[in-house]
Amino acid sequence: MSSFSERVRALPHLGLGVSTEYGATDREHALDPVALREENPSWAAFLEVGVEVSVGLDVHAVRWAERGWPTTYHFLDVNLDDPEDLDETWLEAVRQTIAVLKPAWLCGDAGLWHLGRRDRGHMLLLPPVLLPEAVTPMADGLRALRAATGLEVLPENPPGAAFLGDLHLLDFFARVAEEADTGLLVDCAHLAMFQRARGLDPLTALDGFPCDRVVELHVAGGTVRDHQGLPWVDDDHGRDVLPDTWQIAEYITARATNLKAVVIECERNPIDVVRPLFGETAARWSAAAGATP
Amino acid sequence: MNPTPLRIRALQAVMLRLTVDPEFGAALYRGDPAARSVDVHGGPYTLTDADLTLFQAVDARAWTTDVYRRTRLVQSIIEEYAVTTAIIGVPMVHRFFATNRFAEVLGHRGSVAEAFGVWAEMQCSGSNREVSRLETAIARARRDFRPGGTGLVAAPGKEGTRVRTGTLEAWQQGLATLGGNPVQAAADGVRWTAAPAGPGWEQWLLERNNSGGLGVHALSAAQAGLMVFCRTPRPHSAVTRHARKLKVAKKEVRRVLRMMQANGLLVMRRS
Repeated sequence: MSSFSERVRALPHLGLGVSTEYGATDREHALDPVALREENPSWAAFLEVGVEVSVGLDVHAVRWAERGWPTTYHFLDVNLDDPEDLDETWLEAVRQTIAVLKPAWLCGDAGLWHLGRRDRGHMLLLPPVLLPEAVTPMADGLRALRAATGLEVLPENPPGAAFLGDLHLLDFFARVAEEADTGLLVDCAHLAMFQRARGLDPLTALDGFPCDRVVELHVAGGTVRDHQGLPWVDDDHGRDVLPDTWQIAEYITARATNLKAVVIECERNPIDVVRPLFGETAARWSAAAGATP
Repeated sequence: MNPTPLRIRALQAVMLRLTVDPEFGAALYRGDPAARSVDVHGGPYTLTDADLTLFQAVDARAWTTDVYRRTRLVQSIIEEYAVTTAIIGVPMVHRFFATNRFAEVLGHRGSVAEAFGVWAEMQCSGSNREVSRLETAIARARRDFRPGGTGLVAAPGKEGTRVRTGTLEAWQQGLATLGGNPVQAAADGVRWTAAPAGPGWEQWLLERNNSGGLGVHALSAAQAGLMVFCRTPRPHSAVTRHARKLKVAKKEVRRVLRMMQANGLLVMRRS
């Protein structure tokens, strides 16, 4: 098995992409990825498809893939640290989905996607326990999924308002990446949520973070809300990106030598509303990295 | 893969419970000794002072920012247990999420729907309990889950149940009483009580079909009992002994088990 630094060279440069999941495009006022691509191919150079295998793919994702347009596979239903979750039935469904999408890689929030066993009504998303002994099971799961699919698997830092454990989120994922010898997906909006929840500066702990392992970034809008007097950031994928999120994205983009893809998560908004977001993200990526997105 | 350490699984279970059960959260943050005991596979685990400090470092309000999480769970229960909900009431469905039975789901890779059914049955009596048991069996049949292991096991998606005479009819009457949208009616608080059940027993095979619907067929008492016994894979010898307990004649046991396998009710799982 070759190392990440060797494997990453074989990964395609995807550029700017958009995210979707089952039924997202059919919702009223939702973003139509095909229309966006037709308007500006570089803003929807690929489609990140959120997949819960029990639900499957919608017709929009299938048609995108049938056109031979690039995709990535974002899992929405696996607790990577739980060996029982990577059962053969689930893996076979993943392989069948891969056969349709032909994704460049797999990615997804590395946290708790469900309570109990995988079952109807059980789905949610919580961050991992940020303790050293939680690193190895997560790394094992990543390696197992990579071996089972033959594709790179990029763990993503999940969102949350409550984070348990004394490790910094970035330190936890740096350890996971090192142990699994894998690339990373950094969701800048999720990281901004973590930093705010811990009362930290947006760039805290990035100085020791292995940016060279970052293959994909997510940028998304968030809304500050109040819960019983506690301010928290709702990861609502709206049009308004927090300044913290931009700050994090620019810092990482300038240092992520293996960055291949940036997803703008805004699937619930019409094109007219989020058009400026694509232009701004492309400009910022270009300026920070000195590259053409 | 290395199994997740017991401590991490226990902390995960507590995190999950905190997002759903504010009463438990208050007890944990007070340091209530009962809240420190975590029922988790391979456990139990008792939260240490260091663990408690980790939780107390997090603002307790942060666990419940998703204010609709419990409501979604309640809704998912009502969707499968409309009649049981009409029997026990929506507030009791909410109450389930503050019970140890729910906490067990979190620590043991359980099923909320199945655990709720078992719990709800205990909240009912008489014919209501019978109807609740039937609805639990239906919820089980909708799933194709069986625990791992080798031996004879009831076929996934097929559930046997034994209830008092007239229970199936009572359940159908309950659904009819709830009207054209029983789930909505139950969620809106419409209540219903089953008429007294008969003195005898009826046994049903509830079978999920390919179109997502449910087939209902009669079973013998022995077949139903064996299907319940084999929800967990069992050695052939244990199933044989259980058949005898169910009063299957000694010379008939082999034939009954063969027939149940031939009819797809039981499956022999080998390593």
